[in-house]
Amino acid sequence: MADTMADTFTADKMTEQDEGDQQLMQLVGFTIGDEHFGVNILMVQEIIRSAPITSVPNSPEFIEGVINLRGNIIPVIELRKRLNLFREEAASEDPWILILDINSRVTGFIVDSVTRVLKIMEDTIEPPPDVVVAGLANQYIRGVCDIGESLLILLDFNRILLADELNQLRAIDGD
Amino acid sequence: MIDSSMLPDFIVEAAEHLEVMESSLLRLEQGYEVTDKELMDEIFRSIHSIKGAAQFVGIERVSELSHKLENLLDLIRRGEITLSPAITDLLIAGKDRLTLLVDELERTKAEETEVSDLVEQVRRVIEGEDVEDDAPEETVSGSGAAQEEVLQGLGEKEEQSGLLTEENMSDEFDEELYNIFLQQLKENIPFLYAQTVELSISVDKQDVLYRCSDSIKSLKSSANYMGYEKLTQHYSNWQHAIDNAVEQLSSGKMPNLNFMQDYIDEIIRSFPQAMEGYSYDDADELGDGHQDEQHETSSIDSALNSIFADEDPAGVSDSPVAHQEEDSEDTPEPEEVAGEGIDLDDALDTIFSDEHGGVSDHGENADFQSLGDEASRAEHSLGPVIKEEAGNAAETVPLEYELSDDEYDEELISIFLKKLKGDIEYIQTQIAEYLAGADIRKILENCHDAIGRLSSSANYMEYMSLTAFCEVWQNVVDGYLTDVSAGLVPDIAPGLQEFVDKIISVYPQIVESEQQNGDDEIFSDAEGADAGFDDSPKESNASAGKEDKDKEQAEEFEGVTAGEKTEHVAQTENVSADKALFDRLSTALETPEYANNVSEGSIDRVIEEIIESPGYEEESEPSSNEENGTIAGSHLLDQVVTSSTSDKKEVAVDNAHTDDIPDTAEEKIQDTSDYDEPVPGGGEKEEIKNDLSDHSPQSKLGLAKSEILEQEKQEKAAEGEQEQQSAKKASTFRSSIRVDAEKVDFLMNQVGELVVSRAYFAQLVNEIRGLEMQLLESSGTSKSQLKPLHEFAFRLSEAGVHLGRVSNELQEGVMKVRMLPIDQLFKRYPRLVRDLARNTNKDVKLVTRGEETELDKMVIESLSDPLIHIIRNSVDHGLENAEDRLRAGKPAQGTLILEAFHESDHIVVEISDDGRGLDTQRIKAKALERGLVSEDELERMPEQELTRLIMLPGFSTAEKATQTSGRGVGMDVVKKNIEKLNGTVELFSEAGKGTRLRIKIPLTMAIIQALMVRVGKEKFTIPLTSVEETLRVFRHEISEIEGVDVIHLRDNTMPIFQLAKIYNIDRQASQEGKMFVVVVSTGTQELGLVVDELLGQEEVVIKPLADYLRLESGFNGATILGDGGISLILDIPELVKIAKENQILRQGQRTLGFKRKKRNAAETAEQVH
Repeated sequence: MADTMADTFTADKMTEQDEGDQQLMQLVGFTIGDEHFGVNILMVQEIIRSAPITSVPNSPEFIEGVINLRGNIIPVIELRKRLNLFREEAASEDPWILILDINSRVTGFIVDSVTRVLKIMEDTIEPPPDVVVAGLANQYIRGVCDIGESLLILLDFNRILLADELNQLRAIDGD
Repeated sequence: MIDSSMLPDFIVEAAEHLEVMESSLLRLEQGYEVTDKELMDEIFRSIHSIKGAAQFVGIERVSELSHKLENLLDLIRRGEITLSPAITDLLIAGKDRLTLLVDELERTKAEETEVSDLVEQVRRVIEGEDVEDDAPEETVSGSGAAQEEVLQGLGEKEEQSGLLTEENMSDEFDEELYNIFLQQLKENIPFLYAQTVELSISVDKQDVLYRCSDSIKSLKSSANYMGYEKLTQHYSNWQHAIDNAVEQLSSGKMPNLNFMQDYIDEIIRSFPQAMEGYSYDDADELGDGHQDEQHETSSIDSALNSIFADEDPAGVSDSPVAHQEEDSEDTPEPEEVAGEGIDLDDALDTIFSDEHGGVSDHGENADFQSLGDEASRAEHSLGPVIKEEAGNAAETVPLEYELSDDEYDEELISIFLKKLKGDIEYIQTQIAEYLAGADIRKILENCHDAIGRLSSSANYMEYMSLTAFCEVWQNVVDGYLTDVSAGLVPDIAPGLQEFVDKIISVYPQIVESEQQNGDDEIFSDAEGADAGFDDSPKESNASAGKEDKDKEQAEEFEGVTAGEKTEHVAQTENVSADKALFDRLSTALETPEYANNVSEGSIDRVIEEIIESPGYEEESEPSSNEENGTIAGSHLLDQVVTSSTSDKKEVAVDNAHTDDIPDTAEEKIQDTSDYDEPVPGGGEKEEIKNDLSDHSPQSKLGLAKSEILEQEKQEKAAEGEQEQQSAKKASTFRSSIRVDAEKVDFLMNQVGELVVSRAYFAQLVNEIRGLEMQLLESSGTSKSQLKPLHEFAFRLSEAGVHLGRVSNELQEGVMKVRMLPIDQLFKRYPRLVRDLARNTNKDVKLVTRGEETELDKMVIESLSDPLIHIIRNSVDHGLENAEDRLRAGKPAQGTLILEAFHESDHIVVEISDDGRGLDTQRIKAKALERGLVSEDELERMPEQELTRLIMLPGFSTAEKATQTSGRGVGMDVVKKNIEKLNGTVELFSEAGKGTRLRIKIPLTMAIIQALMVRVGKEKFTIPLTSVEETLRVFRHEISEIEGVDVIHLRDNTMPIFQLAKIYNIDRQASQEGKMFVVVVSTGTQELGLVVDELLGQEEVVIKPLADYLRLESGFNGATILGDGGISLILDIPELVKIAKENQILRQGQRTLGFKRKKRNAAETAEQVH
């Protein structure tokens, strides 16, 4: 996988020289199961390894709980559950928590592993295909990007945090 | 132009002052007494500060209105206007308008609402009192003022009908009647307006006209009743016009219906009160005609105002004529006159003549010195005393006059002077540069800026005359700029220099330091000459006299004097004109009758001249001739200087009248022996003055105005007192600072962290102790071996205790920073109560107690709304009207009590009234009607619980919603808001006796006292405010009623809920059959929460939770525990709601057997998402 990354990296470098860097985008790559995902680096506040998570009763299922991040209480979302991905698989034992700043709502997302920083050109991002990618509803996908061997899925965290959340809450209340 | 950088400060400041003002006004209104000087002073101070700040920032309307209000208040304070409801209403209306303007400034950074109507009203009241000074009865102030308005309304605009002239005669007319009359006008006029508008669109014009006719008829009868003959006539005409129109219509013609608008306008002009609050909303609809009218009126208003304002300085100016010898303080500075000039039609001309007059005086002064000892001899003959006095006058006058008092901040003055000096020097440099041939436009622009700076600093110091002076100056510079743009080359040096000189003459301190610095070469010469005249350090480029003396000074002027062609064409022209004059002068030197030729107008100006110049005494003493000459000369010079075209110059030269005048000037200048001759004695001067005033109608007016001056003086003195008081007051407030709330919040957060780490400390000590025990027991270490560890643990706990103490104090301190007296809140309500009481025609007295009780600012803010609702309820529903109260054997005046006090860690705010109390029958009926409760429940409900029903959303017993309340939102909002503060609301009511609402809230929202409990592995925090008690309950004590676990507690059954069940937490069932129950209260209900363990009471810092975790989850925040873990804070009211819903759900499941189905449904629903 590292090779692939390196390839992409050099490829990016070349395009960078060609077209200037205003369209270059830096992503933090991470994985859940076998899928590769990316999030704009500008949204990433920090990445932490395991922190004690306090569960919040009566909260939507995908909310793992809250953590104490230097005195601030931050909700943590289990991305796997949120995206309804690979439900059968057990979550990685040693998860990473991506702390993202989504429109100034700081939220943690549990992912299996964080790979590395990727540079891609904005115009290599394609709109989400009509077919479901990796069993993922395309409303959460901002776009996909071919990074050689695999497809990198750019997630739309605004949607992830907001779109269905309220519905979900309603549904839970309705239960 | 508004200085936007200063705006935020202004808004905050003004809001504070307005608040103070409002509360004082309300108190004033209650007493209708002016005897309470302190109260009056407070209002005065507020409005004065607002005015000052507004002027400084450049907010015109606010400053205009506040200035007028200040004038009015001053008259009231001096007892010249008796306070009446009409006047307090006006004051309050003024305050409201100011608040509105400040709001607008805050939102849009611009003033949108007009103030001219209020300004006008105030002005009328003031003038009304001026006219009827000797009859200051109660009626006069109210109706008299109103009449005055009427008079003004007509007199101002349209003489044609002169509607109400005779009405004004009836001094002792009935105020009540008048109000009724006005009321009727208020009702009918808008109606007529609406009709007029309809007229233009309606098909059935006839019908509309008939309706109008009816309305006019009723107006006519009321006017007739009031004895307003002209008004009646007006209405008759109107009706007639309508009849005509109807006739025309019926005959199929299309009459011109514009007359409707005209008639209405006429009425409104006469009775602007009739349109109060109407014209703003509807002006747009009412067509352009009306708007134009308004504009016109307002422009006329402002014109009149300026004339009115004009009178004051004029009065001041005249006064010294009468009191010249008495008091040097009376001698005002020249700017005053300059300021006066602004508003006059020929503003610039006048100013110029004034300035020139002054300048030529100064020029002469210089000449006296340079030409020989005659002048000084003349001076000496006047006596050193006078000279000294005059000297003092010049030195101190501007300060005493403008600074109001000597305890004015000296530092400020010195800063101001420094700035003044800097600006003046800068301008002088600019002039020098100009003389050196620099770009004229650039220089003018620079000067313009410098004057602007000067103006604003003068403004800041509240030197109004100086500000006005600067404005004039700027206008002049602007004039030059226009000239320059027009391709002309005006000679700017003299004009500018005059102003500089004027300033220097008023603020000799500048010169002193200038002399020290010696940085202005051009003028040092003149200053040197003036050394003896510390009051008149001047050198005048424009004065004719200067030319003789200053030849050597600057090349340009030399050229000028010689009449040479220089690049400054205009200048040359001017000067050659001067030269021509000089020639004539020398021939006319012998003509002694020149003095008689001086026009009365000039004489009047002489008076101003006298006043204008602080150093005048010396000059005025010698000769009236000289005076005349000076003035006339200046007049001429004015013309010469202002005109850069040769036409005007010719006018000046050809003017026979002016011909004579320069003679005088020339005479003095050219020949000192001549000068000596016409010097009459000092006594003669007085005579001449009297003569002058006799001759000149204007100066008579001036003398009359000197009375006004007296007032002005008093005002100044009062203001001085004012300043003194506010200075005193300021000293008590000086220790307070305004801090950004964010900074305090940050501190608060940090302290919160400290509190957390203190808890951590305590936990560490415990851990060490545990370790010690463990070592002792398991590893067999002896006690003596563990002694160091033991000691360490002890020291650690000591340190922990110390840290705890410090952090406690720190926390308290920081919390106190956020604490404000609840007075901040309470003082908002008198106005509300007043307005409410008015609207509902009730007599309500608001009593506040415990205003000094302090609580968190945030809490205060969040209490504001609930209290409004509660007060509205009380006044609208609770308190009866006077008749009902009397019938019930209560005093006619209802009492509403707002009270605040501490109760342990809480603040209790109680709102009680002595009204009718809650009507439980109505509540029951309504609750049933709305299906909020079942009849069964109602039966069993205790009284106390019944009253709680009104806090349910949408509950209202009111038959119909009134303007203020009855929509059923109120109490719900109250409850919600208070709960947000972790507070509780309790309601006590006794039919016929009154209602009492008790709000209990924690001192602060950031840190709360809480009970920590454990359920399973989770730790939860329950705000102590919600906790009533904790119990230990055995299983057998629990019984089940309708599927709900209940316990018996002091003869009551109380439902209990398992916290673990509500939150689906796994836990081992307690073996002993014993459990902990925390009894919590939502204010309306008590219930028990079963927990596994009580961990103890702790102070916790509330941290916000993401909204989707807070919503309907039963948590309203979280807190960080000593070990870094998180504990969720229970939102008890929400939790109770959830618990009940769960229970109902379960009950339903159980009884209907839907359990399985439901669960399946839930699961599928989950999968869908």
